[in-house]
Amino acid sequence: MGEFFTFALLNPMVNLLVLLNNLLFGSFGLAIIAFTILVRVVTFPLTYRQLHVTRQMQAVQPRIQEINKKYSDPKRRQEEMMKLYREAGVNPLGCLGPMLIQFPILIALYSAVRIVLPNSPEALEKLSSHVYDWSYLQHALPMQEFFLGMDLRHPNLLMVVLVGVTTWAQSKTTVTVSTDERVRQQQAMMNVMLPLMFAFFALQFPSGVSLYWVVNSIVGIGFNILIYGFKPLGIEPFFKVRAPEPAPAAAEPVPAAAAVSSAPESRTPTHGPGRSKRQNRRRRPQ
Amino acid sequence: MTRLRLAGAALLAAVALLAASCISVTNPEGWAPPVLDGTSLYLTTDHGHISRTTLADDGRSAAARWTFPDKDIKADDKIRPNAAYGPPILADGRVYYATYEAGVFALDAETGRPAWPEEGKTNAGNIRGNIAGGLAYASGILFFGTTEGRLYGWNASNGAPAQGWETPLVFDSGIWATPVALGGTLYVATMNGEVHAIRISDRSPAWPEPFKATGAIPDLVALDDARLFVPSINRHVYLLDAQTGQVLTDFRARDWVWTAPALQGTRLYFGDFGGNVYGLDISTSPATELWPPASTEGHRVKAAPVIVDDVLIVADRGPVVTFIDANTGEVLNRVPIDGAGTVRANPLAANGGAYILTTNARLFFANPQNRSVVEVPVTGVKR
Repeated sequence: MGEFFTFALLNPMVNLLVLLNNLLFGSFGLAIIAFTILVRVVTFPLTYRQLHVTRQMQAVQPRIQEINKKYSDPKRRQEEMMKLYREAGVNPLGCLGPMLIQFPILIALYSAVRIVLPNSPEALEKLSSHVYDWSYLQHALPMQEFFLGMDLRHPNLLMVVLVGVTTWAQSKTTVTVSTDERVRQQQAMMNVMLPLMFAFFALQFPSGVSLYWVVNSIVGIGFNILIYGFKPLGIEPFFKVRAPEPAPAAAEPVPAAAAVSSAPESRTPTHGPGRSKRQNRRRRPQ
Repeated sequence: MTRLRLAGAALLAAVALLAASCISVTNPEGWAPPVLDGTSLYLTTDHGHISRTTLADDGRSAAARWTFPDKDIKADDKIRPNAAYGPPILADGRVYYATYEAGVFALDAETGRPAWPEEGKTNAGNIRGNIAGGLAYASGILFFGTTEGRLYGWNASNGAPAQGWETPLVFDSGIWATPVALGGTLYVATMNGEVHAIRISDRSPAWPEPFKATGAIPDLVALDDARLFVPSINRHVYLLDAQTGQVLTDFRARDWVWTAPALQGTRLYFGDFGGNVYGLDISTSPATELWPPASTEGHRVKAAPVIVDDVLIVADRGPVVTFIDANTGEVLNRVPIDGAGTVRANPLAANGGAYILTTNARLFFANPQNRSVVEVPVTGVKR
């Protein structure tokens, strides 16, 4: 498995990185930026599918909550939920497939950046087993370790800050699926903790890896805005979500169009962080 | 569903961390070869620690006399010697050695205490870049290059810049190979594939123009007073005329060559990263192959081969020690040395065999007579 990963994913990415370095004036920093954007664009269909399913799930959240409230029997609740998913044409596990396919790609991307960084003579020696026997690639080695006055082999404080900021910004452009207040609070906490955690990692990592992470996050922000839109700036989603089928009148608290209409945020007319569960319950039509 | 996503994110983080640990950044370890002076064997071990050991009369064990840095002999707390890539220079009753990040040290050969810089200090602040090679010594001056393309010349007596070398000589690319001093000329290889010949006296070029290869040159060795061995990661090995810079031989290997050679008369031996060992007759120009390449069964060869009694001893990255008949290229025996790390440092030919230092700071003796390998216990060194 390890050998297959190296042969099929890691080595092509390492060589692509070296090739881009050659094409981009021998600048390893530019190569990392171009490489990250390229791989993210190529894997966009997977990302799109994942984010699209997430948005569909968000659209049916009010109705899921209704079912949760209405049925105390777990078996019945499950049946109703499955029925809803069927009606809405949503696969609740649909976002996992693309996510799982992206794992090895992202890991290879990250590993390739680390391998190609010439942080020691031993690293260059090790790189020899990954670079193809093509003189155009081999002439480029070792890479230029400086980019914008920054030594890509060592941690850099500016990159640490950028890692934290871009990770936070990416989480802010990601929609929250659940309307459950408790889960939303957990999510809000994660939105703070994750950037701090990644910034801490960046303190240890070569800044070339941090550069990859920053670009990766910026591209992620772009994808999020394309798919979810960004309400604070009045940006509507570029891609529309297929509306779920309307639910039976008795169980439908919100007009389908309102629930679906490409709403990028989970704040709905009846549910939201500003309202308590009791308030929500009181407004629910009987 | 949110929980599912959170679980997915946690799984992603776990897998990423696992992968990160599997494909870790390779930190500098160094590959300084052992150096023998009488019965004193100098070993550079454990990320840049250097020890003077005394070899037993039979050459089959050794004990440390001193180690630098140690609890008694301090180095700078913040920038410690973490790796050394070139052999220590023994001269003037001192041991001079260059470290990757902590600069250059002159140690008293008897006590191991620094003559310069002051004990507990470093001169790394005076150097731009890291030292990925070793030192060249000529006319009381120590020369070394850095990964940022600076060539320095420091007085061996006090570690100050030598006269005429107050500022470093700047090159377009990093210098990883140990510079070579021959006569009054200094030869410097750069990672953009150039070899420069510089007159030490006035720093002027000694060749009409530098030699240019298409790949990085990470190593440089003088075969004798007249020829230079220039290996490149473009899979070529060049032999240059030291006087003129003319190419005497351009030999294409099957993989990267990043090693020093063994020379016996007009026969030259070296290995490559594909595990091929070559024998060349360099009496002709261009050189001719003595036999089809011998194989280390794919193990990368970083360390220089050693030739003793017409037997070529090759320690590869396996690590496996391969004994090869130098006349025919026939593999006579292969001896794995398990659990010893790997071998990158050039072995030392002495006492009728080869001393092989591994990255785990274990020392082995390869005996070409019976084609065996035995461990040489060394006490008191840092591991």
